[in-house]
Amino acid sequence: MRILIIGAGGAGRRLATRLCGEKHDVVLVDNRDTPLEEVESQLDMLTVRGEGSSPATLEEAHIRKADLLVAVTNRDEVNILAGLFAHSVGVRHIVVRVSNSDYLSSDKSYDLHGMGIDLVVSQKEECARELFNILTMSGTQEVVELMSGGVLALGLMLHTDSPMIRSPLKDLNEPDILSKLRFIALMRGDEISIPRGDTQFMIGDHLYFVALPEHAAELLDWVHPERPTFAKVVIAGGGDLGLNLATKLEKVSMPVTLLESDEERASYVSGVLSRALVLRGDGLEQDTLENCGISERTAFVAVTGEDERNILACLLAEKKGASFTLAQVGRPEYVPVINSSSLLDRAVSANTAMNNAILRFLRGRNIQAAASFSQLPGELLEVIQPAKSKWTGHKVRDIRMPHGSIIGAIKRDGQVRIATGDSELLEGDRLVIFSLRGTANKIEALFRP
Amino acid sequence: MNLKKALTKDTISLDIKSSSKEEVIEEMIDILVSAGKIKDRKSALNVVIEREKKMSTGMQNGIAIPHGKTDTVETLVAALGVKSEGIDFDSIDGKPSTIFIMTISPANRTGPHIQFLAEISRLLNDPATRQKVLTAQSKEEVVDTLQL
Repeated sequence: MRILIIGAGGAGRRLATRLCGEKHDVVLVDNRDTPLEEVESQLDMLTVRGEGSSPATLEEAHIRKADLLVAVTNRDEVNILAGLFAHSVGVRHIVVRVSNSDYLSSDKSYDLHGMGIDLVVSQKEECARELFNILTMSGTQEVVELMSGGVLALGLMLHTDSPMIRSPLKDLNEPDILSKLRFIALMRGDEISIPRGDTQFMIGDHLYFVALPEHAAELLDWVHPERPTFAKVVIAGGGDLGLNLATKLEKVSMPVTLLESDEERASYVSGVLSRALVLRGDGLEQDTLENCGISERTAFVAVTGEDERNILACLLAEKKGASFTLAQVGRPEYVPVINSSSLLDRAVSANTAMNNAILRFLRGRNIQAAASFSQLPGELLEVIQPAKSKWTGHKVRDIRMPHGSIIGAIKRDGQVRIATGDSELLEGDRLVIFSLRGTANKIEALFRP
Repeated sequence: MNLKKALTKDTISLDIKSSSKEEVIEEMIDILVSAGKIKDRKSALNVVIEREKKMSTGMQNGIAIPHGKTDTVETLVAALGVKSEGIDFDSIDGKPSTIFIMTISPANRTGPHIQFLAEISRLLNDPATRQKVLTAQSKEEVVDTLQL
């Protein structure tokens, strides 16, 4: 596939590296020399220097030959213009990143989708949702929404309190609980497998399962009875992300204290939020941290926009007694390091959402969407059972899935159900399939009409 | 931070004398006290016993992991004890426990504690490693076997 990426910042370069690695034909456009020179020295791709919103630059980058355009500069207007031009010259798939939530307006007159842009990704919105899920589904390590939120894929670590470490899966006498979930992956150290009946789980195992959102709390209580619950969330950083998160938490009546060092911004944020307490102060100052009343049932979230600042603020909050600390980091390569060092409870990168959006376009026609976990290699695919599929009328257990893949959930007539070996597939079913890295193509082929 | 550093020669005992669950817990707490890892013996003992009351920490394969959380320690501290004859620790498989790993960690940090137990129990999941620990003639041998 020929892919044109506008913007050689962090997100653009990471995407280019990944796509080059997958043998796609990538062209990278930026108006600055330095990032392009860096990329050129490391990767085999064409680079074009110029404004991403200029037709001349786009022509020079052979926009008409591109199958996919991804615009990820830090200017919304450039990204949108590049997307609109791409549509007008017939580029088939267009993904645009925006940071201003005004562009996500539901008003039809301003709908970018209607103007030919397939996907408008708001990194901040996606990131806020991930942070919100982690806070409201405490005890999880990651939560991925699929089928427009109709089904969740949850990842968590098994603690000493879990009944799951006490006997193999087949001997767990909990038919009611086990019917509400389907295990899709087990990560032990570097080894990844799909749990079977005789799998014996161990402390520290990272376990992933799919479940309906309405069952999530009950299942988490069962898997991790001593999971922490929070009476309050302290957010350091009142930028768009902090404000978005605070708004979401207010909606579920979670008490929020927000710290913002800029006076003007603090008073703006305080006006937008209805119940949250907004304090003017820096998350790195002892006094501020003391004033915001951190206790052992407080979750502390740092979203100041600076990685190092976020990490330090979390360490300080932990010293003050916060039971859970969560830092947003811009560099995805920091995430696994932080999550394995036990310094903070969790680190979240804003780039996962973007990656998930792009994956969707690279996985073939009958694969509708894809998502990846930040810690588990592999992908979650949303696959449609096409008309005349050879699997119509077959049970899940009879399908010869590629090694390292499993059907997790089935959506039929708008209703999502968790798959079992006995589930029968019908034409038009949408399936959630987890596949280890490298098996996506086999799955696409398996369900090809 | 290397979590396994929490376990050092002075917190390993190859010669557990006790013959009941309660005594083993006390004996291992005393190892941590003697090594200077625990200052408040009573509070550490209490949290481990309270935890044990909720659910026994006797796992399969002769491993038991008595543990507790208290703010009287600042970082994770750990001890390892061996009693080859085994002690009834109300384990899952009903078999006697022979290798005891005790951890005491600060109340609000679960991460290091779980990672420590995960690393150690992953190593001890291997029958050959368990056998080496059980038959070790010196603390150095245990340290080598567990790559501490």
